[in-house]
Amino acid sequence: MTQRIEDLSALSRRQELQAAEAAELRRLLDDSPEEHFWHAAGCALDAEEAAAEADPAAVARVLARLEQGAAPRTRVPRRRAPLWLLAAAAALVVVGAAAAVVHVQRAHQAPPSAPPSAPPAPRTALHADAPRTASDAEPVVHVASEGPASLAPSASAALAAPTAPRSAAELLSDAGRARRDGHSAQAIALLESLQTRFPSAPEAVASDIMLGSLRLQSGSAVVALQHYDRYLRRSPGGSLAPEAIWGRAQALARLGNRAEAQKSLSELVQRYPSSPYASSAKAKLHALEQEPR
Amino acid sequence: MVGQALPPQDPPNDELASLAQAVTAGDAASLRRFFSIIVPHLLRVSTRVLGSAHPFVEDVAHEAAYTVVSQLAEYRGEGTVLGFSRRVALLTAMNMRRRDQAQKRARTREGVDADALVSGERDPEEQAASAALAPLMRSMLDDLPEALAETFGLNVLLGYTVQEIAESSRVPVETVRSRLRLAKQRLRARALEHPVLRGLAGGES
Repeated sequence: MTQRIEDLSALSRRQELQAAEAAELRRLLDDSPEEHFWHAAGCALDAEEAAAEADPAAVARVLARLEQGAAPRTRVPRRRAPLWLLAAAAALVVVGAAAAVVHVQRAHQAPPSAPPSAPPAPRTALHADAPRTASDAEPVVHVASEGPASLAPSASAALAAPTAPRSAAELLSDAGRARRDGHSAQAIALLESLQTRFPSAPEAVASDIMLGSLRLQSGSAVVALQHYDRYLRRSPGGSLAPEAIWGRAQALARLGNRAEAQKSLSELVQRYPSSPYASSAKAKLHALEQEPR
Repeated sequence: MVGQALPPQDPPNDELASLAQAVTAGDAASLRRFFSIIVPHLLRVSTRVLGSAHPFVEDVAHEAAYTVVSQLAEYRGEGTVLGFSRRVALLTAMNMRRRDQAQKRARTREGVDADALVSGERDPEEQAASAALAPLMRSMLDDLPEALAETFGLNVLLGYTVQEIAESSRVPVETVRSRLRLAKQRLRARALEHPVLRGLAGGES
C-alpha cells in the first residue's frame, strides 16, 4: 500500500492524477497519518518553489561561468575529465564570453547583467561568419516563458493539436510530461488544446490547476488567478479545490492584493485543515500579518 | 488497485538524447545548447535541496552541469537525460550539505557560531510558504546514509515515482521500496522528537 501512496503522492504533486486516483490518494492518506506527513512535506517544498520567482539572472550567471570554461569552485577533484570534454571546453573558451552574453540575451529577450568577471565581448570573425543552424535559432533557455495574457486558448493550442485523435486523459498526461521535462510552453499548449477539444471533460476542469501553476511560474499572475477561479466556479468542492485555493492565494499575493490573499488562505485553513497546504497557509497568514502595511 | 505497481511506462520520449550524443562527440555548439537547457533544472534542484538562501546554490548547479557532461559517456539511457541530470544535481547538492555539516562540526569544536556559516531562510514569503516542513526535510537528508538519502530525496524532494527512481538510480524497484521504507523509519523517529511535527508524523501528542 505504501508504495502505491508514494507513486500517487508523486503524481499528485506533479498534477498528473486522474480524478479516481486523486480520490484513492485521499483515502490512503486518511488511513496513514505518517504517509500524510511525507506527502505534506513534499507539498511544502513544491509550495516553496512556486512562491519563489524564477531567477533568469542566476541561470545567466551559471551559463556564463560554464562558457568561460571555469572549473566549479565547489568541486572536489576526483579524476581527469575525458579528452573530448576538455576539447569541447577549450572550444567554448575560444568562442568566448561574448557569445554567452549574446546567447542569453537572445534567449531571455532582455539583456542579463553580465557577470563581473566576464571579459569584454569581442566580435570575432568566427561569430560574424559562422552560419547559424536551425537549433541556434530556437530559444534555448526554458525559463519564464510567457504566453498571451488571456485565459482564452491561444494560437499555440492549434500548434499542439495532434494529427491523430487523442483523448482528454492522454492530453493531460502529455502536458504533465512536457511540464516535467521543462517544456512549459508545450505543456500550456497541450492543456489549452485539451480545454478547446474537450471543454466538459473532467480533465479539462482539472487542467485549470496545472495551467494556473504554469502561468504563475511564468509570471502571469492575472491569468493564473483566472484559471484558479474558473476551477473553483466549476468544481467548488472538487478534489483539487485545496490546490486551487492555495494557487489563488499565491496569485493574489503576487498581484499585491494582500487582503484577498489572506481571505483565501483563511478559507483554505478552515475548509481543508488536514490539507497538505494547511500548514503552509497558516505560516503564510502569519507572515502576511507581520508585514508592514 | 491498491498495492499495484505503476503500469510499465512507454520508453521516454527524450528530446535531449540526440543533443547529448552530439555533446559527447565534442560539438561545442551542442554543448552550449545542452547547458542552456539543463541549467535551469539544475538550479531548481539545487535550490530545493539547499534552500534559496544558501550561498552556493549557483555553484552547485555549476558543478552539477560540469559533472553531467563529464559523465554523459557513462549514461546508458536509463530514464531521460534530464532525469539523469536532475539526479546528478541532487547528489551534488547533498554532497554540499554534507560538507556544510562537516564544517559546522569543525567550527563548533573551535568555538565558532555554527549557525553563522550558512544563514537560514531570510525571505519572509519563502519562510512562510515552506513553514517548518521544507527546511526539516532538507536537514533530514544529512542524517541518512547516501543511498537512502538519494532515494528519499528523489521521491520526497523531487517527486519521482518508485519506477522512475529505479530507472535513474539503476537499482531494482524492490530495492527502491526497501530504501524508502528504511529512510522513512529512520526519519520518523526524528520527526517524533520535534514538538510541532509529532502529530503530523502520526505520533502521540
